[in-house]
This record gives sequence, C-alpha cells and structure tokens, in this order.
Amino acid sequence: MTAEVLKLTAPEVLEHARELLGKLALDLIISDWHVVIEVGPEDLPEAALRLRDDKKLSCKYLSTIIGVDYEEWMETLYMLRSQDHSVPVRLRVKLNREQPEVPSVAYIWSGANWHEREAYDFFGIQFQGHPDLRHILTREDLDSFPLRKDARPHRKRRRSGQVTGIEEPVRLPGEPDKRERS
Amino acid sequence: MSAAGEITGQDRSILHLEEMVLNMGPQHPSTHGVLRLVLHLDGEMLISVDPVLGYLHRGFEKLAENRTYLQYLAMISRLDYLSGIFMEWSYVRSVEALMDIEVPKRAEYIRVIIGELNRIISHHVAIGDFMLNLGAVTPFFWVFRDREDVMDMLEMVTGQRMMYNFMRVGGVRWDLPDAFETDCRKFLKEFPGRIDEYEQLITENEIFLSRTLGMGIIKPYEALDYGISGPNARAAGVDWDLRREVGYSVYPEFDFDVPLGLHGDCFDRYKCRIEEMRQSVRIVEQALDSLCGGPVNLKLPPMLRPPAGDLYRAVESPRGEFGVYLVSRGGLRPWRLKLRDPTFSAISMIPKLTPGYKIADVVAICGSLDLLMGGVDR
Amino acid sequence: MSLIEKFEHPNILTTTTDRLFNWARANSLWPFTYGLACCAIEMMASTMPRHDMARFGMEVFRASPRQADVMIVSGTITDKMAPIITHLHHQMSEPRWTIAMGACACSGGMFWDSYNVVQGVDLLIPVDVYIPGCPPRPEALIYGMQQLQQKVRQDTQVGKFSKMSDNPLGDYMKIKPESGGKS
Repeated sequence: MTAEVLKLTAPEVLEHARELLGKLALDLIISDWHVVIEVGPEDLPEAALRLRDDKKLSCKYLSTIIGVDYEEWMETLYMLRSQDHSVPVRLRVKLNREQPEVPSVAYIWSGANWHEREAYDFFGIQFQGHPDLRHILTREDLDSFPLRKDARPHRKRRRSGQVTGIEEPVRLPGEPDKRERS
Repeated sequence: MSAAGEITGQDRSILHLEEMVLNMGPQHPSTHGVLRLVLHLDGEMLISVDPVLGYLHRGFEKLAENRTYLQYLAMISRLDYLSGIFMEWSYVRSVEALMDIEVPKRAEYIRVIIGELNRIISHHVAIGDFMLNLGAVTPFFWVFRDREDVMDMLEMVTGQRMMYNFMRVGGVRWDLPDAFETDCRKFLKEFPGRIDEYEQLITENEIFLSRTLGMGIIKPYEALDYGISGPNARAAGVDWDLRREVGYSVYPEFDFDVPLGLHGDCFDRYKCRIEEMRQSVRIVEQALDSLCGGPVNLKLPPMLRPPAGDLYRAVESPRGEFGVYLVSRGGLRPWRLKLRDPTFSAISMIPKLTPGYKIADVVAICGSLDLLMGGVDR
Repeated sequence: MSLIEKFEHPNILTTTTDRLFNWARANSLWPFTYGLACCAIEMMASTMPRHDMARFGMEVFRASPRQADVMIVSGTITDKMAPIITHLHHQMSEPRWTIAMGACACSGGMFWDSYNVVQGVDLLIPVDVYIPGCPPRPEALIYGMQQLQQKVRQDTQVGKFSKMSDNPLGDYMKIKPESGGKS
C-alpha cells in the first residue's frame, strides 16, 4: 500500500457524504473534527455500503461499534475511518429503547461481528441478520443487560464472608440522589 | 499403505477421522492469560476455532459510571496491564478535550518519554512470550533482564512498576526526578546493542524461521476489514500509525519511521515489534533533547465536572489503536465510557487465520498477535 | 556446614515423620502457573534473572494442576472463572496450598463492586497466604512464599485427611443466585 494520503478536511468529507447519501442521511454535523452522520435504522446497511465502497471516502476500517443508553433513547455508533484521509466518520443510529433493533453490518465489515455481539451483550440491542448473536463477555446465564441504565448490578461490600445483594452507588456532594428521581 | 510406510492416494481416507473437539484454556500457558479456544480438529489439522472470551471481564465500562473522573484514572491502567500509560493517556486526552484544557508543553514531553519507555517494555513481553510459545526459553530471560532496567526508571518517575497512575487531567503527576535523565541516556545508549543481541539470538534461528515464515498471513484488506491496527496491521503493510496520521501530543516534532512488513506473516509481526523498539529509542532521545522548562500540571479542582458532550480520542498503544469514547451529561461521573481495545479485533481474526494449520501453529499465531486478555475482556 | 559433615562414620538419624515430610515439602514447593491478570506479569518477573525465585527452591512452575503443590491465584476472579478455579483446585493432589496474590484475589480489589467480580478467592477455596498489593512486587511474592514455607514446616501431616467438601463448586454456588445481576 502506498502512503499517498489525500488530505481531506472535515467540511469536504461532510459535503461529499451529503451528496453521496442524499436522503438517507437525517442529519450531518461536524463534532470535534469527526463527521457525524445520523441515519435511520432501516437505512443503515445501505448507507454503510455506500460509505465503504465510495472511492473518495472509502471507509474500509470499522474501528468499533458503541452502544449508548441515554435513558430516553438508545444509540449505536459506528466509528469508521479511511486510510485515504484522516477524517473519522461516525454513523449514528437512534433506537427505540423499549425494543432496540438494528440491521447487522457484519457482512459489510467482518470485524463488526464481534463488536455487535458485545453491544448485544451489554445493552440487549438485537442485530437483525447477525450470524451468531450470543453473549461474548458476560457469563451465559446472566439474564440482565448490565450497561443499561436501569440495571444497577453493583455488588454489596462483602461482610462476614458472604456477598449479599446489590448496593446503590455512593452519592457524592452536589450530586442529585438517584433514588429520589426514580 | 505403501511399502515405505507412506500414506498415498486412497489410503488417506482410512485416516480421515471424525471431528474432535479440543478445549484449550482458559488455563493454558500459551494463551496469554485467560483466552479459551475451542478447537475443532481432524487429526491434528484444524477445521475451525471458536474463541471464548470473558474470563477476565471485570466490568470496566460499568464501573466508570460509578466513579468520579479522577477515581477512574487509578483504575484504567489495570485495563491493559502491560501498557498502562497508554490507557491513562487516552482517557486523560478525552477528558481534557471535553473540558477544553491546554496541557503544558513540558508535561507533553514527559508523557511521550514515559509512553515510549512503556512501549519498549510492552514489546519486550510480546517478544518474550512469543518465543516462549515457540518453545524457546532463553529469549524470555534476556528480555526480562532488560525489562527490569526500564522498569527501574519508570518506578523512579512514577512510583510503581506496572500500574503507573501517572497521568493527570492537565498534565502529569509530578516532574521527572533529577537522576532520571542520566539513567535514561545511559540506557538509551546501551539498548540498541541489546536489541542486536535479541536479533542475533532469534531472527536468523533456523527453527524460528521455519515456524514463522509464511504462517498466519494477514492481507492488507483483511486487516482493514477486521479492524486490526498497530504492529499487526503494519506488518501486513497497512501504513497507518496514529502518532503520525493524527499527530497528537508533541509527536509531529519528532523524526521517526513507521516500520512496515511485506507479507503479514508471524515473522513480519515479530520484526515490526523489534523495529518499533528501535524507533522508540529514537523518539525518547529526541524528547529528552527538546525537554523544556515550565510547569508539568495545571491546578484543577479535585472534583472535575466536564460539560455535556461526547467525543472519541485514540492513542497508538503498543497493540494498536486504543480509543476512549466518553459521554458526559454534566455530572461528576462519566455517563458512558467505551474502551476500544485493539486486541479485541485481533482475536476476532483468529477463526479466520488458523484453519488448515496444526495445533502448534495456532500457538505460534496467537503468540505473534500479541494478545492480552485484560484489554479484551475489560 | 551441612549436617552430613558432622558424622565421621555411617550413622542413623532419628526424627519425627512430620519433620521429615515437612522438611521435604517446604523446600521444594512447585507452584501452579495460574496467571489471571496483571499479577501474573509480576509472578513471571519473580522467576526471572533479577528476582530469581529459584534461590529458595520454588521455581518449578507447572502448567498442570496435577504436578503442583501451590496454587498462586494471581489476578481478578470473575464469575465466569469461578467454577474453573475450584475445578482446578480440586485437581491438585493433597497436600495443596493456595496463595492469594494481589488485592483482587484477596478481596476483589478495586473492582469489588463490579457485577462480574468475585470478592476474594477465599469465597471459593481455602487460602493459606494473602499477599496484598496491586500488584505485589516480586519481593512480596517471594516473602509470601517463604511465609508459606514456615507454615508447611509447622504442619501436622500424619493422619490428616482432606476436610474439603466433595462439592467441586465449593461454597460458591450457594451465593451465586443472590449475587446475580438482576436489577
């Protein structure tokens, strides 16, 4: 591979992505020199394929897939990067929190396979069409999704050789009491 | 069977055995910690591999939601325990970016010096473990001899041998001690000779070559497809180093090369690490030369409260792109912290790399990828 | 001067069986390489040139539990690992000893409130020596091993049988349902 790097700036990448994706992109912004593109869940595979196969953007490298729980909604973020320019592109999909479902991109980037398994493991996000959606990090019989905000799986400090139940996080000065709010 | 005892033609079908499942790990000396591989074998030939993770899943990402920004700093160097400085670096960079803090120049140089020394000892263990997997014990002793010298220097600066907890938001914990520079320069003078010693011992060893050349080849497009980064990707010919491409900290001031491999096999991955150690020596030398005066940290309140926002910051750790995605909603604790570990992607490639090889080669391939389960399981 | 040089003629020594066995056991402890996390690196460093553990007769690290006397639990124990650690401990032949190396193995360490971490290996298997530190220095591990040697020398081996329960999962299964991550 040659090191002839086309130095694109973030606004150029943004303009090109706007042309490329057309109506698929719900929103395009530049956040901290990353180009953030919001797409609907059903348009995700199409947008991902276009970004990957475009000659100028060529986002061939999927760095990671991130799930975030905002209590009101959920998100999955796809961190993309290209070897040809150094502007990271971030695909953002907002999901319904009650029933988080999104099409899988494991056939577009092979590396997505395990990242999607991890997001399923932590948040319970269902990736439709994923070849092998199993637990990856947590133990198989764990029946909650630990990184969701309503799961508070913190353990109680061990006393007299026994672990007993679940403890609330310690409240810091100036921080609202979570128990009162909920 | 023919007269010579050689199996030919149709006789081979006699030896086709039914599939055997062999469990390797999580307690196995050559899986670098607690990786478990479920091997499906035909005789000794591999059909498929299913890695099972999570035996060291400590819940780092959930614990971040229950710690303040400063408390979590002590924890994060336990993540990837061979290169803790890079975990801290990536984390403080993301908090600094959220809070819009400018780091003093001297602190950046100190970060680079400590970081590159840490890269050297991480590659020490990577090479030593790889050789141990191949059955060579001597190099392991040699690299640990030199590793202790670097650890002495790191201990002098940070106070700990492995878990440094040295970075702070807005700088580093304290200044370099007076004796550090002389010690470091002495080490930098001797160390290239010791790398030559490793190379004399390993690089042209006949057994080593026959076990690594052409083994576990990663093609450049595969490396991108699977999200491989760091020396593993550079050995495959992917010319990408965040130190150069993104140019964070003061790296743009330094002159260093990014070693690239030609074939992407186990040997290239080993060779890339050896060359990176030489480049690290160059960087530390330049950083010591250009070390300027001034403060090493900023006075900040003990309770950090970054404004709401989200961002992603990555550093080039010895294993590749280590990134932190941080979401703040204005509280005292992070709302969400995602740690992107390069080894996670590297392990996801094992099912693709290993079929067709024998069990002993699986060990060699795993060793050459420099797996570390602390970062994978998180 | 060793004992044998005191005798000019062939001779007989009288001692107790306990002293004889304990002398042999204490001076050749074979540890079991059970590297879990960060402490495993320091465990490796303690056998390497700088801190050569072989000086004290305990350098023969074995990868198989069947060949080992001491299990050095070096690292964080997670819920997924817990059944395996008891399983491996029961595979070791008696007499067997356990060293909890590092804060995580002693009490869960700084991950104590995680949903997936066991708060100390003594919830699973009996522990003889606790070595604090995060991670303990190699010198601390060597000191811990010497403390174990002291313990072995004072032990009564004759007529002693295993007091462990036959349940291979130990006491862990009793606490598991309550400590699960259900919110």
